[in-house]
Amino acid sequence: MKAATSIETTTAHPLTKAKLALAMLIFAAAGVAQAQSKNCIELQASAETEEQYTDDQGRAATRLVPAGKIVPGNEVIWTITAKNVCDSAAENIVIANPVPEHMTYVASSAMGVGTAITYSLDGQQFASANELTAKEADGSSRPARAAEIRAIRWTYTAPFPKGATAFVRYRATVN
Amino acid sequence: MTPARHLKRASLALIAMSSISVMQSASAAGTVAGTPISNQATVTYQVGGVTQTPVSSPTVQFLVDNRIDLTVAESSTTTTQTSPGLTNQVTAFTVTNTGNASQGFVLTAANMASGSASPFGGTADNQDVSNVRVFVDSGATGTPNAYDATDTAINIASLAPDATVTVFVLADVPVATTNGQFANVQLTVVTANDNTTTPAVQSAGADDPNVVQIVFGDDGEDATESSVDQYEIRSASLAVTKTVAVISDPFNGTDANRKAVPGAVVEYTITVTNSSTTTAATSVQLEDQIPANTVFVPGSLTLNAGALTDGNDADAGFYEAAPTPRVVVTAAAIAANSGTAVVTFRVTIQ
Repeated sequence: MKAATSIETTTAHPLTKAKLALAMLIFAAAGVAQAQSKNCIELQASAETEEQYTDDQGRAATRLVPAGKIVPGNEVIWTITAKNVCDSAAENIVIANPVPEHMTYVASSAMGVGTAITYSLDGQQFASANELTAKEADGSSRPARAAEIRAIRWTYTAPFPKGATAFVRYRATVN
Repeated sequence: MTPARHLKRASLALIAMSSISVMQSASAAGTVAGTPISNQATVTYQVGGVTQTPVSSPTVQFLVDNRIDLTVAESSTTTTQTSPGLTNQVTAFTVTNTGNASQGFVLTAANMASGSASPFGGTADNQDVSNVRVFVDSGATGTPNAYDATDTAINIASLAPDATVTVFVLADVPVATTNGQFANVQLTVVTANDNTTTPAVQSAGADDPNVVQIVFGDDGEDATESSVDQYEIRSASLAVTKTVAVISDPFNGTDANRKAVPGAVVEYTITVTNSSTTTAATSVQLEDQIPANTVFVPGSLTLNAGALTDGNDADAGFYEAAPTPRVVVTAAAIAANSGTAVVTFRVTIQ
């Protein structure tokens, strides 16, 4: 419960999401996928899939490739990369990502080095994996299923020094 | 550290949930092709203890591609029973679009070669049927799920994701077939572009996130599935025996010493037996010419111990003097498992 409480305090600020999204779309269209200069954190998201291949030693191996043809049932690996582009350190960094519509979170797939990961069924209430509960129709609580997770939040435990880059990742299947 | 290693490490984080995996999707076919999936991450942070404006990533978007998948199933799980000489014998199949976009489906039905295995674990194909055709159930008109005159389409123009349609294969059973033979027919279904008969082609090359591309997701990844049904030919198997007995002669009457001498009355008994264990014979017509040097005894004709009039009328038999003296009897049905029809008539020896 402690972890969940601290997250609430760090993310209490409302987002000006629509405005930012518009700005980002314009950047993306121009091929300049960059945050505004006044932002200290530059954030990128990418969709990839696993590809089986044979390495130069002739061994079967797996690598990530940009998401190919995606049909229902396919697994997509979402990677979100954050970079500190300011001269000073950034603290209390929290990356949040809703599981995209038409996708289902893959159990145990969220990772992020140096982060505490919390999950939400509604995008509002976040809790750690073993504290996440869902309400049954009769009002009773039960442990949440992975497929019910609709948003993920990664809270970095340490500040990002100047120029630091880190990424978080999870998997989701197309419904 | 490689990305793969990162992922392995992450799996510890959610171990409590790993035993549960439930798909949310209500549709077996999944998200409809062309649906955009977009994702945008957001970061909040502080610099020098001051909360900064949250930053969002560029939106990453791709379109769900078109997964082609289908199932073809024989409907009845048993053989379709038929008989020699019958035409338009119907077997039913279902075609289900388990892909995520509406598709057309091109249908082909064919007789299978001898030796083709039974789809029901029984006897393999050992007979052919002819004139094999295929029609799509019109559904709304006529009788749904039963072949009728409104079922005229030979291909499925458009089938929505998760939708199922019944398809009928029709065939004619040659007269030369016999009881206990089996004939297989196969329905082959090729996925086509929606509202066309142009077979779908898997998209080559890399994904274009902004174009719906085609991926074959069916067994064998060929956008083609097939199913086999089997006709079981059932036929009556008839045998005829004829016996003769002297009823009386002019000298001994009906005495035990009666002989087949001129003037004697003789009774013929014709027995038709159906040895089929499954199938009754119907409309069995029996004809017997009156032997030379004998004269038919008027009113002596019977079928199964029931008297028949001599005239060619509503009852089951008649006697006719010209051009050739004969009796003709039609038995409406002879039951399976050694059912019989017994005809008797009498003649007088000249």
